[in-house]
This record gives sequence, structure tokens and C-alpha cells, in this order.
Amino acid sequence: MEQRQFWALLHRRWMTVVAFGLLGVLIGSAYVLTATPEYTADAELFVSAVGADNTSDLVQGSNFSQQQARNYAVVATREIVLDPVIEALGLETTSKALARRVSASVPLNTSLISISVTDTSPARAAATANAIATSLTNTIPDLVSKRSDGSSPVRLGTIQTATPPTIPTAPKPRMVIALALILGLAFGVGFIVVREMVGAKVRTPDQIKQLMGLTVLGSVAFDRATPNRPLISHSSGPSVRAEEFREIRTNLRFLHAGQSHKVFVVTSSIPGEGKSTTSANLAAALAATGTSVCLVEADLRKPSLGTYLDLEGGIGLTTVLAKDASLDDCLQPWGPDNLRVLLSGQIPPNPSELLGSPQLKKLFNTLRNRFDVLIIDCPPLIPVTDAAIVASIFGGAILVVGCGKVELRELRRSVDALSVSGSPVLGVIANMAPVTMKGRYQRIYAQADEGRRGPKRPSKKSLAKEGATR
Amino acid sequence: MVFDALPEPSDDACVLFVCTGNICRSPYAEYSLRENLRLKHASGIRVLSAGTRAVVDRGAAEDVLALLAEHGINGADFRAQALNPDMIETADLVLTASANHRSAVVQMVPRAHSRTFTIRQFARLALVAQPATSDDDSPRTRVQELVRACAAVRGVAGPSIGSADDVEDPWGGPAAGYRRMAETLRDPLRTITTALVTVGQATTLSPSHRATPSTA
Repeated sequence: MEQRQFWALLHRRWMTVVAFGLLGVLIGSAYVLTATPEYTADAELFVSAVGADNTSDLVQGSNFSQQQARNYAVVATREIVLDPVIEALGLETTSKALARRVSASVPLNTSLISISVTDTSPARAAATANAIATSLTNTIPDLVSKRSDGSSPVRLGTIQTATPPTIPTAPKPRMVIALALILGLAFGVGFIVVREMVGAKVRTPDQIKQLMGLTVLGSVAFDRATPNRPLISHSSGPSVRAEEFREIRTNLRFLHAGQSHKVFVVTSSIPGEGKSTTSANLAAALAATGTSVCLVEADLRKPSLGTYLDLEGGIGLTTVLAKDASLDDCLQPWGPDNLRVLLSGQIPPNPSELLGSPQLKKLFNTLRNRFDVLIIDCPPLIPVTDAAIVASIFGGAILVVGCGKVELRELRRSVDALSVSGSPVLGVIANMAPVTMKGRYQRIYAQADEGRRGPKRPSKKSLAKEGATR
Repeated sequence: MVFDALPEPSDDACVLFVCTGNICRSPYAEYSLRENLRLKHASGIRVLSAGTRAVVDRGAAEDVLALLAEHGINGADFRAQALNPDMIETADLVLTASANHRSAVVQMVPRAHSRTFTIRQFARLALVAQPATSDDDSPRTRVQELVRACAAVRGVAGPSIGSADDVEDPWGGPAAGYRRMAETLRDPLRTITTALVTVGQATTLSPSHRATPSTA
């Protein structure tokens, strides 16, 4: 993942990251509230060398006591010191367990020993610290070698007794929560990155262009009303969608340039990306220019055009192939612009074989010669090979990409499936695309326009003009 | 009414209802539409019915006869007949109870796709269709024009509602099922009646009158 993609991802999914951060804070707070507080009490001892008579002795004594302080600090956590403490205070613990809660240190360049004891009870912490100080003071003289007069060469004196602390030292609410927040955010980022890697959806037409290097013929913005009104001709009010299809129609002129009879094979990667509605709308938009258009439903598995167009799907492609009826009998007129539709007909048991048969090729060629434009609506590429077969007959396919619907790797797979059959992706129609700035402006203009003139089909003149450029 | 006994094709229009057994839905629709047309003094439109798997020569279901009797219609002389291609060829308008019947009709006579609809689909289309007829047209030409206009607005007025367009088969079920069938058919049949009657007098009625036929 590139850095730019990463920022884009973060920009899109920051809510998830924040949610994870908040979850971390929540868990941290819960920990702070439920954890048993711990208190730390400190006692300090001073170590001095006994019997310094002159300045040089003093310096040596000072060095000696600093060295010894470090030794004694270690001794403070050993059982020789701790066992008497446990006995004296009647603690129910072992010296090993107690040692874990005791730390003794020597501040730099001093001969002090600082003894810290943590305990769940503040009073016991202080008592233990003091008891260890006393025990250490008693123990050390026995350990070091005596001088000739039997006196000890070092003396330990308590300079600070431990008092029961009032504020617990652990947990530290701020630290814990800050740490939890950071961990939560990190997890959140990790989560969205992994999810993006595993199931990254195609989001925008730009993504299709940049990541896949495919030509985008146009995009159709996501519209909540589409499932109820799939075809543009019956959307009342400002028809941004109709405008979008007119744009795609214009771009289609550059495909198969030089062929007088054009065939566009329309397919998608997975079901539900809107290829059938796109095919139908495209066919209607093309027919509106006066071009003779035939829309063929080559989806012999799950035909849906009949429902969208409100036509009877019981006769069509398979009827003609089975010679149960002539082609003319099965070509149904649709809409005001003389669009002809050949639906699937009865669902056959062997769609792939049928689509690869010479009879079908012949039928397609007949249709191609009769109409200026042939639009073939195929099943999706990933579940079945049908579309690849048909696309290979006509040298390429137009891919409908449902933004936010299809995964990037699925799109890659379907492009691969097409290239294996030797047919390129001629172009992509980005369906359900996020509404762009441009789209928003168009919407505003359309509304203003609509208010002035009321719903209206393009004039004969403008159609003729567009038809002529074809 | 027996199909074979009909006169040769004439200026009269012919509407054919199709369901499965030709003893429940289609006879009910046939007799109701004929009665509706009689009440509106519309002439020149013959109404028939047939079944894709007809219980040939059986009378209409008792519940259907009872429902018809509520409207003062006597359906005692009805006999079921099997659908055949000739009937479809002769009919100017084929109205089916469900989308499956529509498929069956069109598969029998593919050319009929432009004049075969489900009952509710046709009613839906008739509300927005704008047939253009002239005074010299025969009833048959006028109905054909209505059918052409309705076929032209398919999918334009809105997508099909799928199986929601179907009229449920009450056969073998309780009496309530028959009543539900009658209620489902009532409004669409009224709309179709108005469309058929209106197209017969197209030049004498304003278009606005046609726009709201269900309130007529």
C-alpha cells in the first residue's frame, strides 16, 4: 500500500480508528476503576565508615561507604534481611514473594540506601519499609569483618522513616488511559489496513483508472431511487442519471471506431453491480439518438431484463436458437424510440455451450448486420465463463463496476478472465459511484433547468446532431 | 361460450383471458368484464377465456358462480376450454392471471408478445397509455390501438412488479381465497373496462377523463 493510498484509507475510515481508540480508553478506564490500588512507602538509610581521623581517611571512608551502600542495597532484598521482617510483622508471605515488592537503590554519588515497598495497604507498606530498614541496620554489622577492637567499621542510620502514603502509586490513571488510547488507535489502523488488504472494495472511478489502468467511459452516481426506478426514461424530476448516460453514450463513439455496426458486450465481475440496468439504460440512451439499437439478454442463467423492461421473458434468444420461433417474432419493441429487445427466453440447461455455439454466433451476426448498435447483456464474469466467451467473439467487453460493491481483487480476477479469453476490457462504466463535486453542480443545474422548462425529452434537432457525429 | 361456435373474424374485437384450469380466475374475469362492458353499453368486444391446463367441459367453480351471482351474473352455462394457438392468434388482447400464463401464451404463439399481458399489468399500463384513434375505426382497430399504446409504455411507466402482478389461484382453497381473488381483480377489471370503453369513444372524451379511470 502506497503512502497516498494509506492516507486516503485513513481519511475514509478514520471513524473506525477513532472507535478503536475510544474502545481502548474504555478498557483503560475500566482497568483503572477495577484494579486494586498499590501504595509505595520509602525509608532511607545513611551508610558511614567509622573511625576516620584525618582528611585522607575521610575521603577514603566516603568512597568506602558509597561502595558498601551499593552492596547493602542488594542485601536489603535478601532473605537474611527479609526473614526477620516477616517474623516481626507477622506477614503471611515468603521472603521471595516479599522481595518482589521491595526495591532498594542507591541514589547516584551518595551513600544513601532508599528502600521502597509496594503494598495494597499503605500502613503495611510503611511498616514493612521501616522494618526492613531496621533489619538491614541490625544485619550489616554481623556480615562485615570486625575491626581488631571488635567494633564494626560501618554504621547505618535511618535518616527517613517511611510514613503511610495517601496516594496510590499504581495504577496511574493518566498513564494507563493514554497508553490504552495509543494502543487502541494502533489496533484501529492495523485493523483497517488488514481489512483493506483482504477485502478492498473499489470505491471511486479514479481508483479504477489508477490501480487497474482501465479506461473509464463514464460514471453513474449512486442513487437511492435506482432500485425502484432502474430505467432513466421513467425517472421524473431532474435526471442527472440521464445526463450521465448521455455522457457515456458520447464516449462509446470512440470504441470500435471505424466499425459501422458496433457490438458492445456488457458484463461485470459479480452479480448486483448493475450491468442489466446499465445495458438497458445505455440501449435506451443510444436509441434516443435515432440509431437502430438492439438489446440482447445473453444472461441465460438469471435473466432480469424482462422484469426491468416489463416485457415477457418467456421468448427470446433460446427460442430462436431452438427454432421454436423466428427472430422477428421474438424481437420485442420497447419504449418510444424503437429499441428492439431480444430477451433470454426459457432458461436452457447448458448456457455456456449454447453461447459458444456456431448457431449463436450466426444469430449475433444477423443481428449485427440488422442494427447499428448491438448491446449484449452478459452474466457476471467471476461465477461463469459465459461473458468471456461472448466477449471473445466481439473483441472485448465493457465492464460495469459497482463502486463499493465489488472487491479490487475480484475486479482483477474478472479482467484476467477476459484477457485469458483474448478479449480486452474496452472500458469501464463506474456504477453507484460516489457523488462528485461535478455531480452536485449538475444536480443543481438540472433542478434549475427543470424548474424553468419542466421535464422534456431532448429535441429532434439536438438528437439529429448527435446522431450525425456517430 | 364455446370457441368453435364463434362467427368468423369480423370487426369485433376479441379479449381472451387465460389461467390454468379455466374454472376460477379466467371465467370470473371473463364474465365480470362482459358484464362491465354491458353496463357501459359497449358493443363490438367479445370476451373469452381458456386454460393452459384446462379441466375441459367442466363448469366454473361453485364459489366463482356464487361470487358472480352477487353481481347478478349467471355463469351456469360456462364450460372450460383448453388454450390453443388459434385462440391466441384470433384474440386482439390476451390477459393472463399470472406471469407464468403469459409465458405459456407467448411460447405457444411468440408473435403474441405485443398483445399479451397479465391482467394487472395491462390495467397498470392502461392508466398511462395514450392511444390515438379516429371516428371511422372499427371496434377491433380501436382495441388494437389501445393494446399497441399499452405495449409501448411497458417499462416506461415503471418496472414490472414481478410476481406481485399475479392473481393468486384460489382453486382448492377456502371461500375466502375466492373472495380475495375477486377483490384483486375488481379494480384492474374496472380500469380495463374504462380503457376499452374510452378507446371506443376516444374522440368524444377529453384525455383527462382517461387519466383517472379507476375513479369512474
